[in-house]
This record gives sequence, C-alpha cells and structure tokens, in this order.
Amino acid sequence: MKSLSLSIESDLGNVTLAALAVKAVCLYAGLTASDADHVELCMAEAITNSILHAYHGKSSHQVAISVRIVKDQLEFEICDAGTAMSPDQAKRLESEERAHENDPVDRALLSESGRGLEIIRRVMDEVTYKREANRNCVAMVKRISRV
Amino acid sequence: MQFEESTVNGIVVVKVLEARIVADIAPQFKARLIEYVNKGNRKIILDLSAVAFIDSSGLGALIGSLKAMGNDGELALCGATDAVVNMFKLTRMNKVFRLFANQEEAAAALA
Repeated sequence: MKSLSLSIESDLGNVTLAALAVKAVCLYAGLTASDADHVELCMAEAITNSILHAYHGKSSHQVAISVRIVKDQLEFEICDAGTAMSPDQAKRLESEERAHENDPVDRALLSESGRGLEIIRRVMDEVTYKREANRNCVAMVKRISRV
Repeated sequence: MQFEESTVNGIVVVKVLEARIVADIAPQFKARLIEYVNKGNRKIILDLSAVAFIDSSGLGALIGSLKAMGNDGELALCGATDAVVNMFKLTRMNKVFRLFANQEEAAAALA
C-alpha cells in the first residue's frame, strides 16, 4: 500500500497546494484526467470546509490530508481538530439527496453556498464523516476506472 | 484579482486573468463583478478561458453576480476550460448559466 500524508496550516492560500499534490497522486495511480480534476475539486472543498467551518476561518490550526492507493481504489482522509459538523451538514455529505435543484427562471431562489459537500458526495464512491476524540475526519473513496 | 476589460458589439467583456477561482479570492471576485453590475451593465460577458479551476465558492460568487443582475440581466460565460465545464455539469450550473465557446459567440447571442 502506498500512501502520502500532508499537513497544512489552516490558511485558504494553502488549499491549492494540498489539492494539487493529491491530484498528482491520483494521476500517478491511474485515475482519468477528468476524475483527477473532480478529486482535486473535492479536496479543495473538504479542506476549505475544515478551514472556514471547523476553524471558523482562523489560521494557525492544522488540517491533515492523506491519500492511499489500495488496489483499485484511492482512499482520502481530511481531518481537523475544529468544531464538529452539524447533523445537517453530515447528512448532506453522506446523503444521496440533491440539496440544490436549480431553477434558471427565478434566480432569487438560487443559493450561493452549500454546494461543496454535495460535490463531494456526487464525485466520490463512498463518503463517511466521523467525529472522534475531538477530531473531524471526512473519509472518501474513489474507485479507479481504467478506460 | 486581475481582470482585462474590453467591449464586443457594445457589450462589456470581462476576461478573468486568475487561473484559480477558489475560496481565498471568491469574495473579491464577486465584489469586482458586482461593480460591473452596479455601473449599469445589463449584459456582461465573462471570459473564463484563463481559468483552469473553480470551486464551489467561485461558483457561489458567479451565482451572486447573476442574482445581482436581477431576472432580466444577462451574464454570459465563454471560453470555459474542460475542468470548469465539468464543474458546471457536476453542479448542474450549466442549466443556470449560458456557456459559449468564445466572446464572439456570446456577443452574438446577447445582441
């Protein structure tokens, strides 16, 4: 099993570095370019979520990122030691339901936020959220489809 | 946050010169776009050809700008790269925003 663990300070400027590092691992492991783009997006969403929601946008905290190549799948974990996700957020992350139905006719009804968790749910094959020992961990699995 | 501004057939064209529209610049991105709306532009073409990556906060900034235009203003996007188009499809925003291949096609559609 090959794995990479990274840690970044909770500054939004660091999100891209971690997301790009994980994307490079995905491409190396055989994910298609399009799937690797989607994983990069999920990493950006999950890490940004840790910084803005768990750490309330405050720097000098740590966000831990790991990626493992296990047979025909990639396993990712984003962990922080900040505020727990609300039951509603956790549900949105693990639920198949679509929170946002887009209505192009009435723009006033379009929400400007809240799509990050739904993106993760749609891209990943498995998503679980755990709160243990005052830590939040979002675990994600993406299967490698070789085309 | 770098923009390049021009005009095609009398319609303002804003080319985004940032490679990544993500959470650290999304608030500034939205504020700058809304300045164009507040200047009275009812039609805006946003050229995304230099943008390689956009996350949900960048998308939120685009939605906020679209909402600021009201239901009769036009915000057309053009030149989106594959990764950006994929993101729009993933969030079904391709049904909310009008996407065009380039500035000329967008300008023709908004004429």
